[in-house]
Amino acid sequence: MIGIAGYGSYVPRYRIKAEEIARVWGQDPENIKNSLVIEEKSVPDIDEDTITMSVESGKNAIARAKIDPQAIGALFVGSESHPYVVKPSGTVVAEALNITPELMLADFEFACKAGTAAIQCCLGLVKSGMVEYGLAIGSDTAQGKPGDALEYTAAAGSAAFVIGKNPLATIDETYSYTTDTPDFWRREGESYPRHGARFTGEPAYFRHVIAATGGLLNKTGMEPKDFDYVVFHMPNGKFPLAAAKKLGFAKEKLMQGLIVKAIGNTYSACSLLGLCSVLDVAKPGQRILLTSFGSGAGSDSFALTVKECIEEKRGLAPLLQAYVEKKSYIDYANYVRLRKKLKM
Amino acid sequence: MRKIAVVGIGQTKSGEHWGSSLRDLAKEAGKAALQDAGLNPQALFVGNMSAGRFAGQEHLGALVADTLGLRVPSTRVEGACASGALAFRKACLAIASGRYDVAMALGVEKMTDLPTEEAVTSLMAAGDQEQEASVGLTFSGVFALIANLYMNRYKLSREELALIPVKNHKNGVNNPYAQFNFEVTVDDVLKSPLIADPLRLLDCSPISDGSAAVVLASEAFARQCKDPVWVLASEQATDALALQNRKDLCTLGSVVQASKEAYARAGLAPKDIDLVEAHDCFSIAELLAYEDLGFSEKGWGKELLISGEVCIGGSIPFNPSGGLKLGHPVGATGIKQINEVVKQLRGCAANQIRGARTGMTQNLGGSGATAVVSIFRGDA
Amino acid sequence: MPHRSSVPLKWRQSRRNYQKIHAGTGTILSFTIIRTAPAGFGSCAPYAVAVIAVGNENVTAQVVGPLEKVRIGAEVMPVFRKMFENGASGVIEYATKFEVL
Repeated sequence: MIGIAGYGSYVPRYRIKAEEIARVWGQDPENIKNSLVIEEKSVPDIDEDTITMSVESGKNAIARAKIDPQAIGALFVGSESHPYVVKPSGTVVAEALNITPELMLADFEFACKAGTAAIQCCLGLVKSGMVEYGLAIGSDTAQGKPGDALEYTAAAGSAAFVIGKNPLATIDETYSYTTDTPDFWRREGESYPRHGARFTGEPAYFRHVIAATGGLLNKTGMEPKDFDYVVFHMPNGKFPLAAAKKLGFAKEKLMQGLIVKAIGNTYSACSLLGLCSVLDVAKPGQRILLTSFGSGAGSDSFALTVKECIEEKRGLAPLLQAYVEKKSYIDYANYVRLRKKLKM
Repeated sequence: MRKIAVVGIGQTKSGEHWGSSLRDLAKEAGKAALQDAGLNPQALFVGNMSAGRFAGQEHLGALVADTLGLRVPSTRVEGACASGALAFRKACLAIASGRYDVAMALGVEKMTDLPTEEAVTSLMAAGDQEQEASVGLTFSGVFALIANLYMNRYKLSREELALIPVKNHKNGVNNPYAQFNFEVTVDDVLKSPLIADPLRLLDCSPISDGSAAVVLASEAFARQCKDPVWVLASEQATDALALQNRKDLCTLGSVVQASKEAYARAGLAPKDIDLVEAHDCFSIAELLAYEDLGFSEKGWGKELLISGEVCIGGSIPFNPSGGLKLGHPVGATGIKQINEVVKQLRGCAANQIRGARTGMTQNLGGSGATAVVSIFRGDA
Repeated sequence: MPHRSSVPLKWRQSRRNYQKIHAGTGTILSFTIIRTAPAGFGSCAPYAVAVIAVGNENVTAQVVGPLEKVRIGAEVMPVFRKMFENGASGVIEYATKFEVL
């Protein structure tokens, strides 16, 4: 049986509240919070980036997997905020976590679904017997253009998964749906992404999330009611609720994974941190459905079953809630300084 | 060992000498010392920490000899802020060996050609690059680490520590070689900007240009000179480079060891010393000196300060010249200290201590990885 | 400073330094807060630097997080952070720092 042998999360300490951002841009905070269903978002410290956060979440995942890091034969870090354009994030992570030198490695990019794509590749390598374990990481220090709607949600975080045998949750099936849909993009050299406003809804997020989830249900012959938890990518709190409704998933099943309210949209880590939140509480035998979404566009859907050994492995690393609760608030001025939005 | 005396001294004022180069500074101090001595040296030792970083100039032995018109064996000696005293000690050993009868030690540093930020980075070369500088620790930060622990462990207050810069500024008001000639109050110190908590701007020695020199001679030659001052001892000790690897952050083991050996060689004890020019690169360093040089028990140094014993008029004045607080041209400092002690023992210092007969200098390298302690006696 | 951007020097140092991320918790022996930073560290100031007892040895490292939490005797754990950016075009230097528990 192949699946998630270990999982790990990481969220930086600083937070900025939606009303603080609204205050600076002269917008109505209640309006913003209601329409986006978000309270606050995480902000990385001046010395954090995709690489540093990946090391933290990766360390946690390896701790839960209880394996020698040398047994990991492949490492993929998915992000849209890799520190280098040329030089992989993964090599620093691999060196710090003692995974080098015998391994396959490359960085991934597919907007917010680069992390789930990494999981699928690890799955293939493990199932084919090419590697014993694979490590898939989704991390981002997302940037939102000052004054743009995305500034309220673009956050920072990381989630890592050791894929292999003796899983604490099996990955029973996966299904992907991919098209060329330019809903959100960033050209090389640009500081901030651009998006198609309302075009990011139906033709992008909803089309792909619904098609991928539908495809997975078909493939597995399962129905929404068969799952105990469902996690969708969360660009805000509203979209996943709407998708769940359209697909026929009960609202309560979404709540454990709906972490966007507390920490914002962590992009490549987003749906994966939702999964971590579920794994932090799920019981053996329970079934989880996860569908990510990456702009450009595509969705990866997964069906998972929680196994017995999750009870003993869960406590080997901090729960996501511990990171969520360890927080300090900053104001917009410090936010701008930390996120280097000031032109020096 | 042969008897050795200081027979000539010279120094420049410490300060921001925009118009003077490293050569100019060395020439001024060197010529003054040679004139005072009336003797030409057979060997020259040059103390300098980092002309390479500050001026792109190495090979200082040759440069200074050339500047002074001395075609004699000349060697640069480096031990961070102890470079001056190390050059002095090498000159002493050169004479003690019997190979030379007259030798010269000159210290010089030109620091103001670089902007402050880069000067601060260069000074950290005195610490451990790999273990300390690489994590963004500054030299002030190193002494701040010592001060913080000391204050925490021995219940030293910020106000008490501030008494040291207050004393040294007062001492230096009449010193023509000091970089500053104004007094400060405890309040001034506590209101000055934080550099590395808990140390503030007025706890720190300045960035200075300057030079100082001494000429030394063996007994036979020294007897021909006016006012020789005898070198009773000059001892050196080494400790771990990085603060983290010291036995205890609040004791400078190198100072303890060098001073023990100096007292032993001189056949003296702390009570026999009439004044000390100590290495107050930061206020806390002088406080540690009271203890590590044997004048007070560990943790009790502040008693000497509060009671006024270390002030002029007290039983053991420290830094009557004003110390490093009033000028710290790094490589020159060790020799500047010797200049002051010699003047005191000759009876012609700006802040003359009555009846001064025996004086001590203490020069530190880095945060105490090197220490040189020397003891001098007047001729009278 | 030429050596700060030396690629081989930084590579060599990082190979040793990265391992500290796997050290256990430590205790702060003393700390200071650097306000006048050396070249290149200016954007991080003010930051805390401490001598920390961890395992059988002492290390000198930055302590991240709110400055008020940094105290003598505080228990700290290793975290992986950027040390030095080297401008917009140099190799980024990473290192182990510590965070108060």
